[in-house]
Amino acid sequence: MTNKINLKICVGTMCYVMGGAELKDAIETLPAELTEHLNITYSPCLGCCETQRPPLIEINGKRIAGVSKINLIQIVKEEIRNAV
Amino acid sequence: MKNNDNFIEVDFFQKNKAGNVVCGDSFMSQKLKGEGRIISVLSDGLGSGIKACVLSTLTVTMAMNFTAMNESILQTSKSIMNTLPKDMVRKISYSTFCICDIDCFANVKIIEYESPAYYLFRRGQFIDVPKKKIPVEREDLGNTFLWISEFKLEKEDRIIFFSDGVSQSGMGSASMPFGWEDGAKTYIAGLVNQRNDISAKELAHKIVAQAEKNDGYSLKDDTSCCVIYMRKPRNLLVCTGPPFDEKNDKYLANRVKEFRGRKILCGGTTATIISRELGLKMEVDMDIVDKELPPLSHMEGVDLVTEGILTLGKVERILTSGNTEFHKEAGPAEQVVRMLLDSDKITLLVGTRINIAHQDPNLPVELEIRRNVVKKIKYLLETKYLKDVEIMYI
Repeated sequence: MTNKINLKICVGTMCYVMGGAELKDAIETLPAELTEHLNITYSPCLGCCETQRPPLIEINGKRIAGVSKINLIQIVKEEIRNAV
Repeated sequence: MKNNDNFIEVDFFQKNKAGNVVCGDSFMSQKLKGEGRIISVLSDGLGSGIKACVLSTLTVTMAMNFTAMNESILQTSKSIMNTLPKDMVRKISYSTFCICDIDCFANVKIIEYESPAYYLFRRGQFIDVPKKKIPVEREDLGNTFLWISEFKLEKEDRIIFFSDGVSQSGMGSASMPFGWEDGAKTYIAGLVNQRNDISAKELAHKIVAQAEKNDGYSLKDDTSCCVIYMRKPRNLLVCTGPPFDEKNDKYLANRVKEFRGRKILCGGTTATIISRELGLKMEVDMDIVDKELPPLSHMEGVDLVTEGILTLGKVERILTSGNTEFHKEAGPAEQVVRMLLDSDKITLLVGTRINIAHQDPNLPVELEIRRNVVKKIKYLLETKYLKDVEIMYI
C-alpha cells in the first residue's frame, strides 16, 4: 500500500464529551502494523454535530458518525483491507 | 481602572510564617466602579497564626469599608482599635495597616499606621513623599501616629508596600543583622531597572521570594507584599462562540485580525470560522493534555486556541477557587487563566449562536450556556482580580 489512510478524529466539545476522548486513547493503543498505514490528525471541530451523532471521525474524506472505541478499530481495519 | 488610557495594576503575594497554616497578614483590594477608585489595604495582626489573622482581617475589612464611605481616617483608626479584641497576654489590641486610596484622576492618598514605610518608585529611583504626622491617642499603648501622604500617580510609577516580614527578613543574620531594610530598595530597583515592564504580580512574588531567601527559606514572620503599577494596559481578546448570523463571520474574523493585543479563541467552531475567513492553518496539539478537556490547537497570529464551553467552565472554577499558581506544563484552562491574569483590559467577544447539539438534557451538566459562564468570568475578573472587562455580543 503506497498511500496512507487519512484518519481525522474530531475533538470538538460534543465529540469529546460523547466519547471522542476514548477514541484518542484507542488510537494510541493500536498495533504498529495498523498505525503504519494511517496518517492520524485531529480536528477542533468537524462541524456536523448538530445533524449527526457524535463522536465523529473522517476517514479518507468519509464522515462516520457515532463511532465507539470498538467500531473505530473495525473501521480502520476495513479501510486498510479495502485499500490494499 | 482606566485613567487616560493608563491602567492601574494591583497585585499582591504573601507567604505564611514557617509552620503556620494561616497568614497573620491580610490584604484586600476593591474597585469602586461608580467612583473609579481603587482602595487597597494591608494589615499585619499582632503575633501570628489564627489570632493575628482575625485581627488583620477585622482591620482590613473595617478600613476598607470606612475608607470607601469617606469616613475620617482618625475616626476609622479609633473604631478599628476599639473593635479589635484584646490580646490575653499582652493586654493590647493591635494591628498595623496601610491604606492606599487612588481616585479616578490618579490622586493617591496613603495612610500608614505602624507599618513599614511604603516605597514610591518613579523613573528609576525611589521618591520620598512628605508625610503628615497625626497622633492617635491610645490608652493601652501610649500615643502612636498615623502617617498620611498624598501625591499624583504618574505613568510607570510603582507603589510598593509590605508587612514587616519583608523589611525585617534576614534579621540577625551576619549579612543583614538589622534586617533587609534598604537592601530591599536596592533589590527592587535592580529588578525594575533590569526589566522596565515587570508586572505588579511578578514583582510582588519576587520580593516575597527574596524575603524568604533572606530568612534561610524558613520565614520568621508572615510576609506580604502589595505592588501597584500604573501602566499602559495590556489588552487581551477572548473570542468565543460563532456569531448569531453567519453573515457576521467575516466581521468576527476581522475583529480578531485587527485587535491590538493578545488573542485567545475558545471554541472549535469559532476557531474554524477564523481559520477559514483569514486563511490561517490550524493544528491540534496533542502534547499538552488535560484529561478533563479537549486539546489545544495552534493558529498563526493567535496566541491560544482552545475548546469552548468545557474549557471556559474550568477557567471559571479556577478563578473562583483563587488557586492560580500553576506549573509550567499547565493544561488549556490554566493557560487561559494565566493569560487573563497577565492582562489588564480584557474584551470578551461572545458569539450568540446556540449549538443545538448542546441542548440535549442527557449531556453532562458542565455544558452550561456560554453566556452565563462568560458573565460569571467577567464578574470574577472584575471583583476578585480588578481587571477591566467588557463583553460584546455578536
